[in-house]
Amino acid sequence: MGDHNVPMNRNKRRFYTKVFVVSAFLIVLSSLILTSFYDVFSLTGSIINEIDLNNTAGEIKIDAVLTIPDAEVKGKFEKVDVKGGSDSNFYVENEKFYLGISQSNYITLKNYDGTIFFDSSKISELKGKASNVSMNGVSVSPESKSTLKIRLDEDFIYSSLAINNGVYLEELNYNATGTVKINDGKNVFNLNNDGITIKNFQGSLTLENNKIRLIGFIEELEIKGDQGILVH
Amino acid sequence: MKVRNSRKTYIPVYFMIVILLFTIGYIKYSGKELNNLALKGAFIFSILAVIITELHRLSNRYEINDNAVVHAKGLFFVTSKRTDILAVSDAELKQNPWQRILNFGDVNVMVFSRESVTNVKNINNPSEFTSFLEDKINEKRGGAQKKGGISH
Repeated sequence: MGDHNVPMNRNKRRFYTKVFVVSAFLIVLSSLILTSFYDVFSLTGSIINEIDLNNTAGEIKIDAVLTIPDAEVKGKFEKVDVKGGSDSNFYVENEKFYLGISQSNYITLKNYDGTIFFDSSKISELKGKASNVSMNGVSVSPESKSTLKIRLDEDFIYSSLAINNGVYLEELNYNATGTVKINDGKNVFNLNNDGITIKNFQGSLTLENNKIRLIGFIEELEIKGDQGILVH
Repeated sequence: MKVRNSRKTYIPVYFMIVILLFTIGYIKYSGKELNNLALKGAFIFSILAVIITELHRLSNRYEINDNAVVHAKGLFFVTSKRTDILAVSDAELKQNPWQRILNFGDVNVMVFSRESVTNVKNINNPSEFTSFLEDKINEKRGGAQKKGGISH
Protein backbone atom coordinates (compact mmCIF):
# COMPACT_ATOMS: atom_id res chain seq x y z
CA MET A 1 0.00 0.00 0.00
CA GLY A 2 2.76 2.37 1.03
CA ASP A 3 4.63 1.74 -2.21
CA HIS A 4 1.56 2.69 -4.17
CA ASN A 5 0.87 5.83 -2.15
CA VAL A 6 4.26 7.42 -2.81
CA PRO A 7 3.95 7.67 -6.63
CA MET A 8 0.31 8.67 -6.28
CA ASN A 9 1.26 11.58 -4.03
CA ARG A 10 4.05 12.48 -6.42
CA ASN A 11 1.67 12.42 -9.36
CA LYS A 12 -0.77 14.57 -7.44
CA ARG A 13 1.97 17.06 -6.59
CA ARG A 14 3.10 17.12 -10.21
CA PHE A 15 -0.46 17.68 -11.34
CA TYR A 16 -0.95 20.58 -8.91
CA THR A 17 2.38 22.11 -10.00
CA LYS A 18 1.25 21.99 -13.63
CA VAL A 19 -2.11 23.51 -12.73
CA PHE A 20 -0.35 26.27 -10.77
CA VAL A 21 2.09 27.10 -13.59
CA VAL A 22 -0.63 27.12 -16.26
CA SER A 23 -2.93 29.22 -14.04
CA ALA A 24 -0.16 31.74 -13.32
CA PHE A 25 0.61 31.96 -17.03
CA LEU A 26 -3.06 32.47 -17.94
CA ILE A 27 -3.51 35.14 -15.26
CA VAL A 28 -0.44 37.07 -16.46
CA LEU A 29 -1.39 36.72 -20.14
CA SER A 30 -5.01 37.72 -19.61
CA SER A 31 -4.02 40.69 -17.45
CA LEU A 32 -1.65 41.85 -20.21
CA ILE A 33 -4.33 41.55 -22.88
CA LEU A 34 -7.30 42.85 -20.91
CA THR A 35 -5.52 45.87 -19.45
CA SER A 36 -4.08 46.85 -22.84
CA PHE A 37 -7.03 46.27 -25.14
CA TYR A 38 -10.00 46.81 -22.83
CA ASP A 39 -10.05 49.87 -20.58
CA VAL A 40 -12.75 48.44 -18.33
CA PHE A 41 -10.37 45.73 -17.14
CA SER A 42 -7.64 48.18 -16.15
CA LEU A 43 -5.98 46.96 -12.98
CA THR A 44 -5.40 50.40 -11.54
CA GLY A 45 -7.20 52.69 -13.94
CA SER A 46 -10.63 52.30 -12.41
CA ILE A 47 -9.29 52.91 -8.93
CA ILE A 48 -7.42 56.03 -10.02
CA ASN A 49 -10.45 57.30 -11.92
CA GLU A 50 -12.58 56.87 -8.86
CA ILE A 51 -10.05 58.68 -6.71
CA ASP A 52 -9.70 61.46 -9.27
CA LEU A 53 -13.38 61.99 -9.76
CA ASN A 54 -14.76 61.46 -6.34
CA ASN A 55 -12.08 61.93 -3.79
CA THR A 56 -9.10 63.98 -4.87
CA ALA A 57 -11.08 66.64 -6.72
CA GLY A 58 -12.70 68.89 -4.20
CA GLU A 59 -16.06 70.60 -4.29
CA ILE A 60 -14.75 74.13 -4.51
CA LYS A 61 -15.44 75.60 -7.90
CA ILE A 62 -12.60 77.71 -9.22
CA ASP A 63 -12.05 80.09 -12.09
CA ALA A 64 -8.61 81.59 -11.85
CA VAL A 65 -6.55 83.78 -14.16
CA LEU A 66 -3.00 83.99 -12.91
CA THR A 67 0.58 84.35 -14.02
CA ILE A 68 1.95 81.15 -15.46
CA PRO A 69 3.92 78.85 -13.17
CA ASP A 70 6.45 76.20 -14.16
CA ALA A 71 4.33 73.07 -14.17
CA GLU A 72 4.02 69.58 -15.49
CA VAL A 73 0.73 68.03 -16.50
CA LYS A 74 0.58 64.33 -17.09
CA GLY A 75 -2.30 62.11 -18.05
CA LYS A 76 -4.91 61.43 -20.68
CA PHE A 77 -6.55 64.46 -22.28
CA GLU A 78 -9.37 64.45 -24.77
CA LYS A 79 -8.01 67.41 -26.71
CA VAL A 80 -4.88 69.53 -26.56
CA ASP A 81 -4.48 72.63 -28.72
CA VAL A 82 -1.12 74.32 -29.11
CA LYS A 83 -0.32 77.43 -31.11
CA GLY A 84 3.08 78.96 -31.68
CA GLY A 85 6.32 78.56 -33.50
CA SER A 86 10.00 78.22 -32.84
CA ASP A 87 13.11 76.60 -34.14
CA SER A 88 12.12 73.11 -33.11
CA ASN A 89 10.93 69.88 -34.66
CA PHE A 90 7.72 68.07 -33.95
CA TYR A 91 7.89 64.32 -34.40
CA VAL A 92 4.86 62.21 -35.25
CA GLU A 93 6.15 58.63 -35.16
CA ASN A 94 9.24 58.93 -37.40
CA GLU A 95 7.93 61.88 -39.40
CA LYS A 96 9.65 65.18 -38.60
CA PHE A 97 7.83 68.50 -38.92
CA TYR A 98 9.88 71.66 -38.71
CA LEU A 99 8.04 74.34 -36.74
CA GLY A 100 10.30 77.27 -37.53
CA ILE A 101 8.72 78.19 -40.86
CA SER A 102 5.65 79.79 -39.32
CA GLN A 103 5.23 81.53 -36.00
CA SER A 104 1.60 80.50 -35.81
CA ASN A 105 1.62 76.74 -36.14
CA TYR A 106 -1.58 75.19 -34.94
CA ILE A 107 -1.31 71.71 -33.47
CA THR A 108 -4.27 69.71 -32.20
CA LEU A 109 -3.82 66.43 -30.39
CA LYS A 110 -6.81 64.19 -29.86
CA ASN A 111 -6.87 61.68 -27.00
CA TYR A 112 -3.41 62.72 -25.96
CA ASP A 113 -1.77 60.54 -23.33
CA GLY A 114 1.53 61.87 -22.08
CA THR A 115 3.40 64.70 -20.42
CA ILE A 116 3.51 68.42 -21.02
CA PHE A 117 6.02 70.54 -19.15
CA PHE A 118 5.59 74.26 -19.57
CA ASP A 119 6.54 77.62 -18.16
CA SER A 120 5.46 81.17 -18.98
CA SER A 121 6.89 81.18 -22.49
CA LYS A 122 7.70 77.72 -23.69
CA ILE A 123 6.79 74.06 -23.65
CA SER A 124 10.01 72.32 -22.68
CA GLU A 125 8.61 68.83 -22.96
CA LEU A 126 5.76 67.30 -24.86
CA LYS A 127 5.98 63.56 -25.16
CA GLY A 128 3.27 60.96 -25.46
CA LYS A 129 0.73 59.35 -27.73
CA ALA A 130 -2.35 60.62 -29.50
CA SER A 131 -5.03 58.99 -31.60
CA ASN A 132 -5.01 61.86 -34.08
CA VAL A 133 -2.65 64.75 -34.75
CA SER A 134 -3.54 67.79 -36.76
CA MET A 135 -0.74 70.10 -37.91
CA ASN A 136 -1.88 73.37 -39.47
CA GLY A 137 -5.02 71.68 -40.68
CA VAL A 138 -3.30 68.57 -42.00
CA SER A 139 -4.57 65.56 -40.12
CA VAL A 140 -2.33 62.57 -39.35
CA SER A 141 -3.95 59.33 -38.21
CA PRO A 142 -2.31 56.02 -37.43
CA GLU A 143 -2.51 53.35 -40.13
CA SER A 144 -1.86 50.07 -38.39
CA LYS A 145 -1.74 51.16 -34.75
CA SER A 146 -4.35 52.93 -32.68
CA THR A 147 -2.07 55.76 -31.53
CA LEU A 148 0.78 57.89 -32.79
CA LYS A 149 3.93 58.57 -30.80
CA ILE A 150 4.65 62.27 -30.66
CA ARG A 151 7.37 64.45 -29.19
CA LEU A 152 9.10 67.80 -29.44
CA ASP A 153 12.87 67.84 -29.69
CA GLU A 154 13.48 71.41 -28.53
CA ASP A 155 11.71 74.04 -26.48
CA PHE A 156 8.58 75.24 -28.24
CA ILE A 157 7.60 78.89 -27.87
CA TYR A 158 3.84 78.88 -27.63
CA SER A 159 1.32 81.61 -27.98
CA SER A 160 -1.45 79.47 -26.50
CA LEU A 161 -1.96 76.05 -25.01
CA ALA A 162 -5.39 74.70 -24.14
CA ILE A 163 -6.24 71.41 -22.50
CA ASN A 164 -9.91 70.63 -22.30
CA ASN A 165 -11.03 68.95 -19.10
CA GLY A 166 -9.25 66.05 -17.47
CA VAL A 167 -6.30 68.07 -16.21
CA TYR A 168 -5.32 67.03 -12.74
CA LEU A 169 -2.77 68.96 -10.69
CA GLU A 170 -2.02 67.55 -7.29
CA GLU A 171 -0.51 70.75 -5.99
CA LEU A 172 0.34 74.08 -7.51
CA ASN A 173 2.39 76.29 -5.27
CA TYR A 174 3.99 79.54 -6.46
CA ASN A 175 3.92 83.32 -6.25
CA ALA A 176 1.20 84.59 -8.56
CA THR A 177 -0.47 87.72 -9.74
CA GLY A 178 -4.06 87.69 -10.93
CA THR A 179 -7.61 86.89 -9.88
CA VAL A 180 -9.14 83.83 -8.28
CA LYS A 181 -12.91 83.40 -8.30
CA ILE A 182 -14.42 80.84 -6.00
CA ASN A 183 -17.86 79.25 -6.27
CA ASP A 184 -19.19 81.11 -9.30
CA GLY A 185 -17.70 84.45 -8.24
CA LYS A 186 -19.14 84.50 -4.71
CA ASN A 187 -15.62 85.11 -3.48
CA VAL A 188 -13.03 86.93 -5.52
CA PHE A 189 -9.40 87.25 -4.50
CA ASN A 190 -6.91 89.51 -6.15
CA LEU A 191 -3.29 88.51 -5.92
CA ASN A 192 -0.26 90.67 -6.37
CA ASN A 193 2.76 88.45 -6.31
CA ASP A 194 1.27 86.54 -3.40
CA GLY A 195 1.96 82.93 -2.55
CA ILE A 196 -0.83 80.65 -3.69
CA THR A 197 -1.34 76.94 -3.10
CA ILE A 198 -3.99 75.06 -5.04
CA LYS A 199 -4.51 71.46 -4.06
CA ASN A 200 -6.05 68.77 -6.23
CA PHE A 201 -7.19 70.83 -9.14
CA GLN A 202 -9.28 69.08 -11.76
CA GLY A 203 -10.63 70.78 -14.83
CA SER A 204 -9.43 72.57 -17.92
CA LEU A 205 -6.35 74.68 -18.41
CA THR A 206 -5.53 77.43 -20.87
CA LEU A 207 -2.28 79.32 -21.28
CA GLU A 208 -2.55 82.52 -23.27
CA ASN A 209 -1.20 86.07 -23.14
CA ASN A 210 1.17 85.14 -20.33
CA LYS A 211 -1.77 84.03 -18.18
CA ILE A 212 -2.95 80.66 -17.06
CA ARG A 213 -6.69 80.12 -16.75
CA LEU A 214 -7.85 77.30 -14.56
CA ILE A 215 -11.51 76.33 -14.63
CA GLY A 216 -12.65 73.39 -12.56
CA PHE A 217 -12.75 72.13 -9.01
CA ILE A 218 -10.21 72.16 -6.20
CA GLU A 219 -9.95 70.67 -2.75
CA GLU A 220 -8.06 73.47 -1.05
CA LEU A 221 -6.94 77.00 -1.76
CA GLU A 222 -4.46 78.92 0.31
CA ILE A 223 -3.38 82.47 -0.37
CA LYS A 224 -0.50 83.80 1.67
CA GLY A 225 0.51 87.36 2.21
CA ASP A 226 -1.66 90.17 3.58
CA GLN A 227 -4.90 88.35 2.84
CA GLY A 228 -3.98 85.05 4.50
CA ILE A 229 -6.85 83.01 3.15
CA LEU A 230 -7.47 79.31 3.48
CA VAL A 231 -10.47 77.73 1.74
CA HIS A 232 -11.15 74.00 1.98
CA MET B 1 28.18 8.37 -18.61
CA LYS B 2 26.56 11.33 -16.87
CA VAL B 3 23.22 12.82 -17.89
CA ARG B 4 20.71 15.37 -16.64
CA ASN B 5 17.10 16.10 -17.45
CA SER B 6 16.70 17.39 -20.96
CA ARG B 7 15.71 21.02 -21.46
CA LYS B 8 13.22 19.71 -24.00
CA THR B 9 11.06 18.74 -21.00
CA TYR B 10 10.50 22.41 -20.32
CA ILE B 11 9.48 23.36 -23.85
CA PRO B 12 5.87 24.09 -22.74
CA VAL B 13 7.21 26.55 -20.13
CA TYR B 14 9.55 28.18 -22.66
CA PHE B 15 6.62 28.38 -25.04
CA MET B 16 4.61 30.26 -22.38
CA ILE B 17 7.48 32.75 -22.01
CA VAL B 18 7.63 33.24 -25.78
CA ILE B 19 3.86 33.85 -25.88
CA LEU B 20 4.17 36.46 -23.11
CA LEU B 21 7.06 38.24 -24.84
CA PHE B 22 5.27 38.10 -28.17
CA THR B 23 2.14 39.57 -26.57
CA ILE B 24 4.17 42.40 -24.99
CA GLY B 25 5.82 43.07 -28.37
CA TYR B 26 2.49 43.10 -30.15
CA ILE B 27 0.93 45.47 -27.60
CA LYS B 28 3.92 47.81 -27.95
CA TYR B 29 3.80 47.61 -31.73
CA SER B 30 0.10 48.38 -31.86
CA GLY B 31 0.68 51.48 -29.74
CA LYS B 32 -1.47 50.35 -26.84
CA GLU B 33 -0.53 51.21 -23.31
CA LEU B 34 1.02 48.40 -21.32
CA ASN B 35 -0.17 48.11 -17.77
CA ASN B 36 2.83 48.39 -15.49
CA LEU B 37 1.64 45.75 -13.06
CA ALA B 38 0.84 43.26 -15.84
CA LEU B 39 4.21 43.94 -17.46
CA LYS B 40 6.02 43.34 -14.18
CA GLY B 41 3.99 40.17 -13.71
CA ALA B 42 5.02 38.91 -17.14
CA PHE B 43 8.70 39.59 -16.49
CA ILE B 44 8.61 38.04 -13.03
CA PHE B 45 6.82 34.97 -14.42
CA SER B 46 9.40 34.63 -17.24
CA ILE B 47 12.44 35.07 -15.01
CA LEU B 48 11.11 32.71 -12.34
CA ALA B 49 10.17 30.14 -14.97
CA VAL B 50 13.71 30.12 -16.39
CA ILE B 51 15.35 29.97 -12.96
CA ILE B 52 13.05 27.27 -11.55
CA THR B 53 13.27 25.02 -14.63
CA GLU B 54 17.05 25.34 -14.63
CA LEU B 55 17.26 24.55 -10.90
CA HIS B 56 14.94 21.59 -11.42
CA ARG B 57 17.14 20.34 -14.24
CA LEU B 58 20.32 20.72 -12.21
CA SER B 59 18.83 18.98 -9.20
CA ASN B 60 18.67 15.59 -10.97
CA ARG B 61 21.86 13.89 -12.12
CA TYR B 62 22.14 10.35 -13.43
CA GLU B 63 25.35 8.43 -13.88
CA ILE B 64 26.36 4.99 -15.11
CA ASN B 65 29.83 4.01 -13.97
CA ASP B 66 31.61 0.65 -13.91
CA ASN B 67 29.90 -0.43 -10.71
CA ALA B 68 26.52 1.21 -10.37
CA VAL B 69 23.72 3.32 -11.72
CA VAL B 70 23.64 6.46 -9.59
CA HIS B 71 20.78 8.93 -9.24
CA ALA B 72 21.79 12.05 -7.30
CA LYS B 73 18.89 14.26 -6.36
CA GLY B 74 19.05 17.73 -4.86
CA LEU B 75 21.12 20.84 -5.20
CA PHE B 76 22.31 21.63 -1.70
CA PHE B 77 21.14 18.55 0.21
CA VAL B 78 21.96 15.72 -2.16
CA THR B 79 20.33 12.28 -1.88
CA SER B 80 22.21 9.69 -3.88
CA LYS B 81 20.72 6.33 -4.83
CA ARG B 82 23.11 3.67 -6.12
CA THR B 83 21.95 0.51 -7.87
CA ASP B 84 24.65 -2.11 -8.33
CA ILE B 85 25.12 -2.83 -12.00
CA LEU B 86 25.09 -6.58 -11.37
CA ALA B 87 21.70 -6.26 -9.68
CA VAL B 88 20.14 -4.65 -12.76
CA SER B 89 17.82 -7.06 -14.53
CA ASP B 90 16.49 -4.93 -17.35
CA ALA B 91 15.83 -1.41 -18.53
CA GLU B 92 12.51 -0.13 -19.77
CA LEU B 93 12.46 2.78 -22.20
CA LYS B 94 9.33 4.94 -22.19
CA GLN B 95 8.54 7.61 -24.76
CA ASN B 96 5.29 9.27 -25.68
CA PRO B 97 4.82 10.59 -29.24
CA TRP B 98 6.02 14.07 -28.25
CA GLN B 99 9.16 12.61 -26.66
CA ARG B 100 9.77 10.40 -29.70
CA ILE B 101 9.65 13.40 -32.02
CA LEU B 102 12.15 15.31 -29.87
CA ASN B 103 14.23 12.25 -28.95
CA PHE B 104 14.02 12.31 -25.18
CA GLY B 105 12.29 10.08 -22.66
CA ASP B 106 12.38 7.98 -19.50
CA VAL B 107 14.38 4.87 -18.72
CA ASN B 108 13.30 2.68 -15.80
CA VAL B 109 16.24 0.69 -14.49
CA MET B 110 14.91 -2.42 -12.70
CA VAL B 111 16.65 -4.86 -10.41
CA PHE B 112 16.12 -8.63 -10.14
CA SER B 113 14.38 -8.39 -6.79
CA ARG B 114 11.90 -5.85 -8.26
CA GLU B 115 12.04 -4.06 -4.94
CA SER B 116 13.21 -0.82 -6.39
CA VAL B 117 13.25 0.95 -9.71
CA THR B 118 15.52 3.83 -10.65
CA ASN B 119 13.56 6.19 -12.84
CA VAL B 120 15.85 8.06 -15.17
CA LYS B 121 13.49 10.76 -16.32
CA ASN B 122 13.41 13.00 -19.34
CA ILE B 123 16.90 12.47 -20.63
CA ASN B 124 18.16 13.18 -24.10
CA ASN B 125 18.69 10.18 -26.37
CA PRO B 126 17.38 7.53 -23.93
CA SER B 127 18.13 4.65 -26.33
CA GLU B 128 21.84 5.52 -26.21
CA PHE B 129 21.63 5.56 -22.41
CA THR B 130 19.97 2.10 -22.44
CA SER B 131 22.57 0.69 -24.84
CA PHE B 132 25.37 2.05 -22.70
CA LEU B 133 23.78 0.49 -19.63
CA GLU B 134 23.46 -2.87 -21.39
CA ASP B 135 27.09 -2.73 -22.46
CA LYS B 136 28.17 -2.00 -18.91
CA ILE B 137 26.03 -4.85 -17.54
CA ASN B 138 27.42 -7.29 -20.11
CA GLU B 139 30.95 -6.11 -19.49
CA LYS B 140 30.56 -6.51 -15.74
CA ARG B 141 28.84 -9.91 -15.99
CA GLY B 142 31.48 -11.16 -18.42
CA GLY B 143 34.18 -10.06 -16.02
CA ALA B 144 32.41 -11.67 -13.09
CA GLN B 145 32.02 -14.99 -14.94
CA LYS B 146 35.69 -14.91 -15.90
CA LYS B 147 36.62 -14.29 -12.30
CA GLY B 148 34.34 -17.17 -11.25
CA GLY B 149 35.97 -19.47 -13.87
CA ILE B 150 39.45 -18.79 -12.57
CA SER B 151 38.48 -19.45 -9.00
CA HIS B 152 37.01 -22.86 -9.98
